[in-house]
Order: sequence, then C-alpha cells, then structure tokens
Amino acid sequence: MKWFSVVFGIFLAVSHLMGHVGNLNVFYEGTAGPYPVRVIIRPPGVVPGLAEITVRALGEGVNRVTVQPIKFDAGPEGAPPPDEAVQISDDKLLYSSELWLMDFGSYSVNVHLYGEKGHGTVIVPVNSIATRTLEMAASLKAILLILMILLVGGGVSVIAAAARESTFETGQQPNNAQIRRGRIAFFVGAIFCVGMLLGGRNWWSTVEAQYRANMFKPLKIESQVRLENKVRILSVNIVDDRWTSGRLPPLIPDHGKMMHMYFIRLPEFDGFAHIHPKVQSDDQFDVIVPPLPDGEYAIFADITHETGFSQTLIDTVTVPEYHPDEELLSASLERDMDDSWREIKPYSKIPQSKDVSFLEDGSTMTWLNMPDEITVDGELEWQFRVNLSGGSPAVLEPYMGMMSHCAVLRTDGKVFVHMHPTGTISMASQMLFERQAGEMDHSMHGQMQGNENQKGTVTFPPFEFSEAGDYRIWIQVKVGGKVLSGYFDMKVNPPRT
Amino acid sequence: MKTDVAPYTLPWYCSAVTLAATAIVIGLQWDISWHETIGRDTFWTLAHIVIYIGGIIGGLTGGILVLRASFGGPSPLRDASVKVWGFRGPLGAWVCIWGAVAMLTSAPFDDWWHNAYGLDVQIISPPHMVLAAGFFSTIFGAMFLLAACQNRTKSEVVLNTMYAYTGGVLILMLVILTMEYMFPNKQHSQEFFNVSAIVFPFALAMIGKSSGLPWPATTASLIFTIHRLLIIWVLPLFPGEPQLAPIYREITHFVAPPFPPLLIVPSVAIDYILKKADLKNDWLAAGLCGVFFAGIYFLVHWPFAEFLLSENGRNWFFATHVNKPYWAPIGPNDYDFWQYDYSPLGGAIPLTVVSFAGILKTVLMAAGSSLVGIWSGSWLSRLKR
Repeated sequence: MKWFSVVFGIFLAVSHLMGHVGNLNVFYEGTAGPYPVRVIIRPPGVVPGLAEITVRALGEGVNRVTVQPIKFDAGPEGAPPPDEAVQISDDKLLYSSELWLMDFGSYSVNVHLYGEKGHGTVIVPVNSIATRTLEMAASLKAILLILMILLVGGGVSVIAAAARESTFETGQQPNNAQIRRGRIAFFVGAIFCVGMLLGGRNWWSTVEAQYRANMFKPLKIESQVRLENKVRILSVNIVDDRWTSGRLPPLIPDHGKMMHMYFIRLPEFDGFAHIHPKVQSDDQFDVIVPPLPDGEYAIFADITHETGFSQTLIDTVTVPEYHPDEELLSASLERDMDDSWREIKPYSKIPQSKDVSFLEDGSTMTWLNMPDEITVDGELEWQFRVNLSGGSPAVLEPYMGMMSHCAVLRTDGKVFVHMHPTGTISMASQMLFERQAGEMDHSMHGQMQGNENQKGTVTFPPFEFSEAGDYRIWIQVKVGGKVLSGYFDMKVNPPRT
Repeated sequence: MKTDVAPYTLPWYCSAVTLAATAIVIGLQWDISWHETIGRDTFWTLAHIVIYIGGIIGGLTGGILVLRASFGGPSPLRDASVKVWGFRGPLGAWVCIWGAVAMLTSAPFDDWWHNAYGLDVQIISPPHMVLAAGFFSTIFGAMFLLAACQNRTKSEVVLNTMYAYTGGVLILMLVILTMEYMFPNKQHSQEFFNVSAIVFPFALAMIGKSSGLPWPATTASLIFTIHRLLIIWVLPLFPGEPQLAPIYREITHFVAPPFPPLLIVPSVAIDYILKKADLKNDWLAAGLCGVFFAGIYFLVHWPFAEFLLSENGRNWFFATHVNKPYWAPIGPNDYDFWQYDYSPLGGAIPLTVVSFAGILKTVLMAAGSSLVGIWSGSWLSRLKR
C-alpha cells in the first residue's frame, strides 16, 4: 500500500485547500449572552465575496438577530453597521443573512441576538481567503458566444458601412471602388476584432493565473524524524518564504499550545495521535513521536496567528521503528502532558457504519444518532455516549478546555476538519476578537468548557460534509484523567437530486 | 435686405443621444463614488439606474432611427443612412445599438467574473472593458449623429456646441477610464504622463479637427472641466456611510473623484495648431500637437500636483481631502507623491520616476495619439450620414 502513501503525499504537496482542509464552512455553537445559539458561516471562496450566515436560536425568546463583519486589522471601529438577519421560513428560530468579506485575511462575524432577556453577542472568527475556481456553465458559454458573434459581426459590418458610404452626400450611391473600400474595411475590422479577442483571451488567462497564484496555500513545512538517544523526535520546520521573510504575523497559543497536530498512520489509519509540538525556534517545532509503529504518517497541524488567522499545515513523514525502551530513555524534550495516541485497527478491516467503538480501557463509545444515510450538504449532528465497561455512563472531564475533540478525515486526505463541541473555530482566534471587542462590549465571553459531564455524552454542532467519500472520524474524551480515542467510519453520499 | 430663413429644428435624436451620453458619465461617476463611499450595492441603485437609462436611451434611439429609415419609406433620414445587414440607419444609430448590446453582454459576463475571481478586484477587467466599450459606443454614436447633422448644416451653432459637448463627455469618459492614474499622488510619475499622452491628445485633436467652433478642443475641455467640477462639488454634499468591512477611514459623505487634469491649457495650443495655423501636413501637425501637449501638460501639472497635495488642495473646491475610498488605509502618504502603485492583489508595483528620456517618449506617444486624432477628426468632419 505504499502507493497510497505516495498519492496521499502528492495531495498534501499540491493541496491548495486549508484546514480545515477541504471544508471551509464554519460551525459554531455557544451562547450569546443569555441565548444559546448555533451559527454556520459559509465563506464564498473568493475575495471579495458574499458569505452566507445562518443563525439558529436554540431556545425561545429571541426576536431580532443582526450580524456584523469585522476585519481584525480594522477592528470594531472599522466595521459597518450590523445587518439585520431575516427569518427565512416558518421556523421562528432560524435567521439568515449575507455579508460581504471584502479583503483577504482574518475576519469575525459578530452575531447580536435581542429578545426578552436583553441583548447578547457571540463572535465567530472566519478566514477570508480564495479557495475556489469556477467553471463557466455551458448555457452561459452559449449565451456569451452568441452575443460575441453578434457584437463582432455587427461591429465589422458597421465599420464596413462607415468606410463605404458614411461620408456620402444624401442620396449618393456607392460605386465599385467604394464597395471595395467597404470590403477592405470589413476585413481590417475583422482582423482588429480577432486581435482584440485574442488579446482579451490572453488577458483573461493572465487574470486566471494571478488568481490561482493568489489562492490560499497553507504554509509549506518540511518534517523529519531524528533519533536522539534512540528517542524519535519529530521536527516540523516552516520553510515557507512568507513565514521566513517575516511577512506573516507571529503565532499565538490555542488551548495553551502553539501547535495542535493530528498524526495519522498511512495508509490504514491504524496509528493516531493528537500531539503538541513545542517551539524550538521561530521556524522549528519539535515533539516526541508517540509509541506507535514505524511507517508513513500524515501530519495535520493547526496554528493560529496573532491576527486571528488560523490554518492547518500539512505534510507526510517517515517514522523509524519504535524502540521498546523509549519511555525510559532521556531526550532533550519531554512529552506534552496533553499528548494522546492510540494504535487501532486498520481502516480496511473495520466494518462500515459501525455505531459502537471500543475504547482503550474497555469502555465503549456509542454513536447515538447515527443516520441510515449520510449525504453531502445534509446537516449531521453528532452525539456520542461513553459508557464504562460496567455499562454506566462515564464522567467526562475537560480535555484541554473542551469536552471532546473530533478529527474528521476523508480517506484520500482531501478533507480534514478539527472540531469541538463548540464547533470548528479556533478558540484562540475567537478570544483574540473578543479581547479586541472587549473595549466596546463586555457581553461576550469565552466558551471554554470547564465542568464535568456526568451523563457521558458529547454533542457536536450540525456538520455539513462538502464532499462525498469515505470518512473516518476520531472522537477524543477524557475519563478518569486518561484520554480515550474512539473512531467511526462512514460513507458520505453525493447530494440527493 | 432681410431674408426669411426657417429656424433650424434640432432633430429629437440629437438631444436624446446627448442625454444618453450624459446619463452614462454621470451615472458612472456616481456609481464609482457609491463604491468608494458605501461599498455595497444592488442591481437597482440609483447610480446604476442612471447608467441603464443612458444605455437604453442610446439603444432605443438607434433602434427607432434604424426602423424608421428601413421601413418608413423615402425620407431625409433614409437618404442620410448607411446599410448594415439589409437595414438602413445613420452610422451613429448603429453605433449606439452596438453599445447597448455590448452593455447587455457585459452584465452576465461581469456577474460570472465576480463569482469566479471576486467582486471588482480590478476596475479594468475584461467584462468591465466590454461594458466600457458599450459606454464609449454610446458616446461615439452620439458624436457621429451630431457630427453628421453638423456637417449637413454647417453653420448651426447649437449643433456645433452640442458636438463639442459630447466631445467633453468623451474626455470625461477617458478620465474615468484612467482614473487610477489621475490621483495627484501619482502625478509626478512617468505613468501619469504616458497614460495622459496616449488618451487625451487623440480626443482633443479629433474634436479640434471636426468641430465647427473656432476653439473646439478648448471648449470641450472646458465643458469636461465644468462637468467634473460639478460632480466634485455636488457629491460630497450628500451623506453616505460605508456598509462593508474593513473601513480604514471615517467617511460621512460621498467621496469625490480626483480633480480634473488641466487639459484646457494644452487644448488652446492644439486648437491653435489645428484651427488657426491650419497646417496641411497631418504628420507635422501631429508632431507639433505632441510636443506642445506633452510640454505644456508637464509644465502645468508638475507644480499643480504639488499644489493639490498641499494644504491649499484640502477644501471644497479641490476636494483632495475627500477623494479617497473607505478601503484605502489612512497612511502617512495621503498627501505625498506615491512611489508605488498598490495593486489590488497585494503587489506593490513601483512607479517610474520621470526622466528626460521618459518625457521624450511621452512626446512621441502624444504625437502618435494626435495623429490618430487628426485622422479621425478629418473623417468626422466629412461624415454626413
């Protein structure tokens, strides 16, 4: 299956998508003052472009919703007045709006809810980047082609008429020489028009090339594993010019970590780790490789810049054999206390759509609301319950401030999403925008989840798959101080027509 | 001895197409200001509607003239028409129709362009150029109709003046098209002088050569300047607030366009060369027009740009303090000469420093532009249909 790793690696090398790789929609669930709320932002994929905002109040009492875009470097004082979101159906709790994201970079959408309990605001960060290329529909091509023929044909005919008879006195008829002059003008005009069209085509190609060059690409990294006193150390180096030349803003910690990395063994996804490389220099991040088998691994590393812009760095790396005494050996680095990993069954040996995942300690994780069929664009609300081996619900503890962490991966690597019960946003980015807005409005607060969950359940906000395919998801929870990782496989079908 | 001469009746279509051309340039300047002030628009903003009215009036006028000339039986209109695809109509009517179709074509093309590459990342884009071709066609169509009427009657001052007026509208359209180069901050760059030398001598020489007025290029430049000044003075009277983020500067009223380039001064020289000196050699005339245009333009604009960027320019008359859009960050260089042309896609393209060799090239460009203008004007002065 080496070929799979190669294909996966090639994808990672050429990917123009970002991470949330392949799915840029933002899902968020939290509270806006007294109101629980769910927000979905569907960025346009072009800049400037129109983002769709959907706001669902998760309770009664809300009678007005406004949304407001804020670009980080302009701040709240550089924001336009909020837009009214409108109810788009009989569903009184569902509001919708569209907002222009005019510039590249880090934005937030400030959602204001008004109702019986007063006013509440929630800030949802979103990246404004170009990720989409658009083909012209055949019908539009046909219409434009007809109009082009009309314009060119009409244009050269008018030029010919102008050359032939436009300077005649009234009533004068063209002679042979003048008719010939008209024909020459027709051909000269035709050559001119063809030249204009060819020039236009070249211009269009240049714009297309400029656009593609300007499409978002995550920072380029180079990863390698070195042995230090037989301990496997993974080094991630950011080698991208944009970073090394200092053109990009520095990083800030998210949940207290500068980098959150999912480290997944290829091609069967039978080794999985959620680890946190430490900063060694401006460009280098190191982490001890977890005790997982040797082989090829995919890297998905989330970082957040101090402008609130978040991105996922992607790469593959070859890991040498694990030394059994590794844990006893010393290295210049220590494991992060929140690093977690699991060696699990190969992907191809797992029955599809299994709704129960056995965890490392014998407890189980059950997908409570697994649908019969999953389709693209359909909302999928994930709810899981963890039961101890005796059957009683587990008491879930926060793991890095969250009740759970979820990684979604399409098996070809083209889609990767890291989400929490609060959604897909970078918490660091949200806190940054909240701090920026704090001088103006103190009604917002962070959504860190600090309390225990006695019922053993975790729920993620409704997720929309943007592409069909085979997916694996990993769900991590913390029980009795130990991080447990469940996993489920699913097939996502194309949208129903 | 007193002779009875029937008063000249201005054909209705002359007024209609002049109105169409005027609506297009007013709507366009209003729309640009709207985008610089408010940002967000719809298909139905007032500025857009004014532009549509211009296109519709031009297209309908052309259509009516073609229908009448083709199917209305023998008439002076039919006699003064050209034949296209079996139909008859005045040349200007056909050009106006072409303009309306081009404007119509640009709409779905531009919509797709926005979806593919983002909303108006660059003003000068292929679909906008199709639209601009439509605008120019309507204006040229108006000029052709007026020139033909003018040439058939010769001495009608009203037609001569209206023709010069549409010439002024053409100059205004050229200034709008090259707006990105017209900011005073760029007026010490070679690019400003080169762009000016390519577009303006053509229009001025063409008008100068084809109008019945004694000082046509100067008159057209004066009309253009008054048009532009009125826009500069009127737009900032209306309140407006940005509706899109990011907003980098406080804007409370509609943003004014840049102060008009001082074309009146070189226009006097061009009129003198083409009308008073009446040189028979077009190449010599074009060369002189090029030298005088480039030289005078350079000598006038170099100090005038400094004046505009000084405290003296920051008032209602020159309006340099209210001519930047909400999306342009306030920087220390608001009133400096810019060294770079900041491209919308993030690149800072260096502007060329003016040099003696550069100005010589500007003279050549102005001469070439003048030659095309003189030839076009000669043909226009003979246009009868």
